[in-house]
Amino acid sequence: MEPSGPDAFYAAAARAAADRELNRKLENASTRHFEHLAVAVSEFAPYQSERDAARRIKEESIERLDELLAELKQRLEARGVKVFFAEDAAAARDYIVRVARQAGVRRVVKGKSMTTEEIGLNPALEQAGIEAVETDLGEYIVQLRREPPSHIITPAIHLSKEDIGELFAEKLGTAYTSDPPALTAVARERLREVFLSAGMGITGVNFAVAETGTLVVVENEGNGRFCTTSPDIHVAVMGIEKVIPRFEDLSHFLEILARTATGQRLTAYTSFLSGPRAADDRDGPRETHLVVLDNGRTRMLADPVLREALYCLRCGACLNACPVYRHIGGHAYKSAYPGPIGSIVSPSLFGAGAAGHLPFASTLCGACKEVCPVKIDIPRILLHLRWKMTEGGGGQVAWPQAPARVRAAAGWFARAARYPSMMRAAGRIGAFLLKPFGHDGYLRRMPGPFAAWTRVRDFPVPSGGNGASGRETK
Amino acid sequence: MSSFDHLISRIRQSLNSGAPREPAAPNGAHPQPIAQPDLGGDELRAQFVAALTAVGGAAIEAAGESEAIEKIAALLRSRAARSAAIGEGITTDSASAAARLSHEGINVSVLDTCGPALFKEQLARVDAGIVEVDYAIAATGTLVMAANSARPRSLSLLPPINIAILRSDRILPNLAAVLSSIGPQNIAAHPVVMVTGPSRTADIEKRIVIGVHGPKELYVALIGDLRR
Ligand code: SF4
Repeated sequence: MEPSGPDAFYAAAARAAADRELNRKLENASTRHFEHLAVAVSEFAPYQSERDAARRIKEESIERLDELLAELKQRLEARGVKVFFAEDAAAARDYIVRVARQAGVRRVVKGKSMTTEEIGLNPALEQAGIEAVETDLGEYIVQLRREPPSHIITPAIHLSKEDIGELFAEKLGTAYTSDPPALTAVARERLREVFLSAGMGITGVNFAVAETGTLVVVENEGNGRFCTTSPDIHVAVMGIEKVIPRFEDLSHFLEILARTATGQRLTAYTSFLSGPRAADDRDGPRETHLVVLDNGRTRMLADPVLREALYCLRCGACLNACPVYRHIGGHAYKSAYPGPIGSIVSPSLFGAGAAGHLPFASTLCGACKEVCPVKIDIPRILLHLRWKMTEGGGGQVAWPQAPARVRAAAGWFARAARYPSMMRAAGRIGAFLLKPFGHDGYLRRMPGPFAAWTRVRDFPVPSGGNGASGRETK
Repeated sequence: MSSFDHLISRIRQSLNSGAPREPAAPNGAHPQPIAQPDLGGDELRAQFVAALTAVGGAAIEAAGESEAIEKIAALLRSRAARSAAIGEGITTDSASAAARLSHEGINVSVLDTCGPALFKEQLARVDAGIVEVDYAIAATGTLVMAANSARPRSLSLLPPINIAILRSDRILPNLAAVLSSIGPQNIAAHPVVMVTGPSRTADIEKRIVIGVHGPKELYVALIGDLRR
């Protein structure tokens, strides 16, 4: 899913912000996420040192990206894996469609992969007459609704069990139930046949080990294992930033990823894939392809501040931590990557015209940085992007002064974020925060998207509010 | 230039255009895996069983191989499972285990005579997959299985019941210990899967449901501490 400029975002955000039901679902799910996360993190004494270790390895990986990708390619090709480097989304889509067509594939099963959302793979497959079935339960649910996922880990986070019960009754013709185990059983039964008949499985990649040419896929449902084991062709799709140097490095990442993403010690399944099956193997793909995607990532790499965003593990924790995400949900962002990390990567991946407004859709409260397993300084990057978006990053702006002002306001946000009721003051908070930028001289011209974001801020103002300056610009 | 060369040159340009590139860390300067806690066999075993139980698995304790097979047969009967498939063991003699299970009335499929398509179809109809695992992780209750032609990975995926055979001396304290035992050579040669509990999801209102696409039930037949 690609963003389509500020107006669509403001309209969707305003609608979502007024949707109390949506807000309640997001609050509940996020709260539950942090309850699980707190247990998993506090019982694991080395959590903090493992975060630092993982961060250092990511720094090294990005620093040595050229060398590591060359090593990965060589190892994989030595075992018969076909490695394709895609400059942009279209190149990646075309390659995958071509592979499917050449092999006469009619049906594809997909594991959860945000990268394939990013490149818009499903519509391309469908256009080529190839059925693409999402098999992660949350993805299956949103695909039945012909909707994109609204969270990178929990795609159907915006739906209640009743919503899903009604959906299944309508689309699958099953008797209505809102019982999660019963709904899960329906999906299991429906998808089993699909797995066994599909000619191609497409998955993402969590880590690619250069030293050994190992693709690591982390998941809970077993659908990722099916996609990489059962069909004759496996296509893995990853961004260039997924490569890490050594096999032993994996321990640091695997020890923190599940704890942060889902509050588990480890996910149910961690697959270490080596490539196509051997001649006498009974299962595994006959052909393995790896698509390595740039699509704007080298642009991020060229910017010393933005580069840090390439350390992201896509754990999803910053979404749940973000008061804005918790209020408006993932769909309003209209990007495959919503929430704080999405607001950072979307302008590079989809262009400043389509997504340049997203860095402004944050209160800079800093909760995202707190929870990030690899300690990405998301607020700093957001500010950097705002600066780039507004004055073209021309270097004339005294932007280092801005963070201090913002930080003063951020203490307030941090407190507000802890109390859902106080988050209703978000409109006021936002106006308060944005005001200095508008009237302080160092950002004299209010940029277009910025002005619009201010205009549409209409989170409910609690009683006693003294009139938000954000509303005055209406 | 190939698309690979193009990408590499874009990466080099980008890396050089930002801050000056730091020299690569000297070998060995990268973060080392966390230390292995020094635990005795009994402690590892107890920790493993507790962690396995916490993720929805169950342990069946047995003094030796023959008792393990007996208990597996009893378990299968109690779960109304009539058929099973068994992978080649590492130390367990799978042929004799299969014979004993058949004798107990379990229909044990012979998997070694067919290609991938037929194998998949056969296995999809089997109630239980039995496989001996290479390692286990005490801290997380995880089973570690390397696959080969006689121990296909689908064995622990397709059947709704998954039974692992584990020797106590294969339990290691943590993930780092298992990765270093497997080593870069082996991981490059075989697909490996780490299994932590039966398949699960929290996709509906973040409520945990056990048994999605993979096995619904996971049992570990734990064979006595051989170091004692
Ligand atoms: S930025 Fe950090 S918290 Fe957000 S998804 Fe990436 S790794 Fe997770």
